[in-house]
Amino acid sequence: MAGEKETVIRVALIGNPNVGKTAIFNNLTGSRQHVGNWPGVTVEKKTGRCTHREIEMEIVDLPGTYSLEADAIDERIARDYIIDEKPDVVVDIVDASNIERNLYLTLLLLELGANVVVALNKMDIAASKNYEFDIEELSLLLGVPVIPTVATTQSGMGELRDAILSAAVRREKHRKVTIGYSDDIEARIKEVEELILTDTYLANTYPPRWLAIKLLEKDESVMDRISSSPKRDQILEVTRRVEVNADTFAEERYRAIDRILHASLAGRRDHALTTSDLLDRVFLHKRLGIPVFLILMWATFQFAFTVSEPFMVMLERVFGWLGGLLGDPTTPLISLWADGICGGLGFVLVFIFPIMFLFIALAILEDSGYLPRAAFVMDRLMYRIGLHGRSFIPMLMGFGCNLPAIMATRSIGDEKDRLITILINPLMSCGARLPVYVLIAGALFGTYAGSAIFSMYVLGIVLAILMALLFRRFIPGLRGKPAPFIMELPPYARPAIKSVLLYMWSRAVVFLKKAGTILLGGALVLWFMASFPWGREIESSYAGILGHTLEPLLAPLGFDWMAAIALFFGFLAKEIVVETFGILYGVGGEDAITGAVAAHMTPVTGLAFMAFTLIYLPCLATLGMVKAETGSWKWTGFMVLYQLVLAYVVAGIIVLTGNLITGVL
Amino acid sequence: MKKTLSDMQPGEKGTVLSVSGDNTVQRRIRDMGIVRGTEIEVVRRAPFGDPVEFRLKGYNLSLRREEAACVSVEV
Amino acid sequence: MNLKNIGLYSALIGGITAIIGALEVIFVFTGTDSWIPADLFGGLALLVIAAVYLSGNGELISKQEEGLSFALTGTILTMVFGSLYTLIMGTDYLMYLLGEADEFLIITELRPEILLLVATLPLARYLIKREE
Repeated sequence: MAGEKETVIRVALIGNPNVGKTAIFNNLTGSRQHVGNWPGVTVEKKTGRCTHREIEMEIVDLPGTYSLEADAIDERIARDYIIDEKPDVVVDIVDASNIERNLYLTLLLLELGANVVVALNKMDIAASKNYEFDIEELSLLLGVPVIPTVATTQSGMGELRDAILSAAVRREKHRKVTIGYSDDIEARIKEVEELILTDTYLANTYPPRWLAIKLLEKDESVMDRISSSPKRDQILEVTRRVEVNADTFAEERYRAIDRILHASLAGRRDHALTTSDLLDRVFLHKRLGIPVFLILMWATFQFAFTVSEPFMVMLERVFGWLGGLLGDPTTPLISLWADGICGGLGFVLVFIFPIMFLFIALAILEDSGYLPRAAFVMDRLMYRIGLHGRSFIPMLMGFGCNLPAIMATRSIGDEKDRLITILINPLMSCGARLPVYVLIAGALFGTYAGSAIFSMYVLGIVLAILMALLFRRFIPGLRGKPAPFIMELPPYARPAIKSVLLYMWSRAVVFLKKAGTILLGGALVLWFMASFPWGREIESSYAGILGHTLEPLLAPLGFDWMAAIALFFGFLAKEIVVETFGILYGVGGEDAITGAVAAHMTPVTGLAFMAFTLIYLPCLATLGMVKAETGSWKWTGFMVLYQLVLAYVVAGIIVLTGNLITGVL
Repeated sequence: MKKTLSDMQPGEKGTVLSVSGDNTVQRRIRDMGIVRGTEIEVVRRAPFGDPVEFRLKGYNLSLRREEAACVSVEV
Repeated sequence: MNLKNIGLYSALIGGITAIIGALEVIFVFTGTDSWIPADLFGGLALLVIAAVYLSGNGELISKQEEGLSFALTGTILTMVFGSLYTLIMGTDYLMYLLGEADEFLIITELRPEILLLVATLPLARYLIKREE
């Protein structure tokens, strides 16, 4: 890219997690943001633009990371972006109140030869800890501009933009200051670096000093990058000979940080009793920690799924009204409008409200710093079943609605942990299954209806645990132990309304895009199968034909073709099962449907049917989101397959044991 | 006295001697600032006894005992 | 307010919270119809909040700053639940307007949790001031 004239300055934002990187990104770009994914992975990629002094900047928000080694996906993305895309300026956001560890990443970036500008953020919190920075000295020692900022109050943003512009103009590739290692190690670096410089391809592609250091650290992914070099054997010979490794370099970097801070920071007097310490004494309390967590979850649940209800009702009515605009669905075209488009969108789009409310709540929990604490108190329990502490909240929210719950798995860092959490989430019995349970249990179990319904929730939890354990043991790609629990507990902070709303909106947009495409498409397919061949009863529609075809398969479970059709439509939304029974039995009104169910099913089949409804498939919208969040048809297909098989097996077991027991009685 | 981080009691302080364990764990622990010479203090255990919260370099970090066992310290 | 008074005030709030919470739970089983709703989870939540308030009393009355932990967290939790029930009051009103609910009675909607939020305001004011 060198020499190419670019009118747009390309800026990358990088920093540790919890440094206020998102807030700075929002400040810089305002509403000019685009959210997508990094190619090939489901890590979110945010880009935005901003114009400063009539110069256009394109800003990429790199994933939050503690270092730049390549074995964690976030870190690989960040590192490869800087090496391969060579952004004009890399803004390293450093938490001034936690500077010692934060500077580690800064040193790694400097080694990488990036054109760094340091944004020294959270200066207000640092000041409250009595930190006194000598900014000029710090900038001198690091050899790069250092701009003090407070992202939450927008302070320092103008200076930061100026610094980015002048750094981009300077395009200073070789800084005069380098963070030196001890003489002994410097000599080794020099030796390897000289070998690298003899290979012009390597020397032009990578910063030679960085490459030398990585090779001495015996970084495997970097070893791969030199595998085709003619100098490879010679280089490896040197690195093998010397007694240094990554530990040596890390220690020396921290020693360098000590030196830098010694000269540029006064007033460090750690560990006065902070508000965070006070809060943690309760939130992480031996006896109170878990009850407090549970009641906060209960409040979150109520907020997401109760407070959003009237909005869902309103949206359903709007679509009902829109659908009725063209009159009764007497022709295929009117039916397409009323039942297909408006009906389908009505069922799919209503999810937007629980999504919005849940993510407002989760954003508040995340921004306040509580979410890592929740993972901390729940980790032991989740680890037992092969999951991570962070898996608990998505599982719990599944009882409200599986769709936003699956979106909430984004907070799980490890890909395997996250996949398993997604795969078992639909076993958490969501709110839409309840009307089905109520109908069937009410019709068949009389006074024991409540227990029958409750048993479905328990069944779901038990199956989820069993599946998690099973996947961990037997499924390639999921096998192994949960990711290590190496997690920072950042200080608590008051969440900012703007960032909470922006986060909620970014999640809502992800859903809306799916709703307008894949989900509406799926709903239209279901509509077509129910309505064609045109003018016939539902029994002889394509869906009815499918129901009849499936009947022999479901007969061992005691389900007739009507149950098969009801389950088929339940795929659009579980609560439609109730409605479908009404249409099929040719009766209207709750009591009449209940009576018809009682006439068509035995208690044993009824229980099997409830279990089948719980397990067989999540609804269409949830399945679409599984595809979006796993980014893989393979895993989506795997989920469909395992759930269908599991539903069949569990319903079969219920029927077998049920018939045995009733036979004995 | 030499101990591993997982044997330390809440309130105890120590200085890191070395980090062992498989590559990924070792590297991630290192990235969080646990290297030879780092001073580290046990703050508390989680309600079920695991994970454990530590304080080092002016911030708080949690590790499972399994990971903490990879770090040996001089108390 | 000094630490000791904070301790006494949060003991008072904690005590009231505990009583209301216990009644909410008991009324579920006795089926009592009263101004205090019969609500199992809501009642248990109040009992947890009460336990938080009351755990800090020893430390506060002996004027240890650490005791503020419990008053602070208790206040935050009361705020969370008071706000939640205020929102639910709005939700129920909307559902009533939409014809999804048969009635909207202010007496059942004005939950004790909302009144506890008001009662805890002096504590909140002190803690926010201290923070600044």
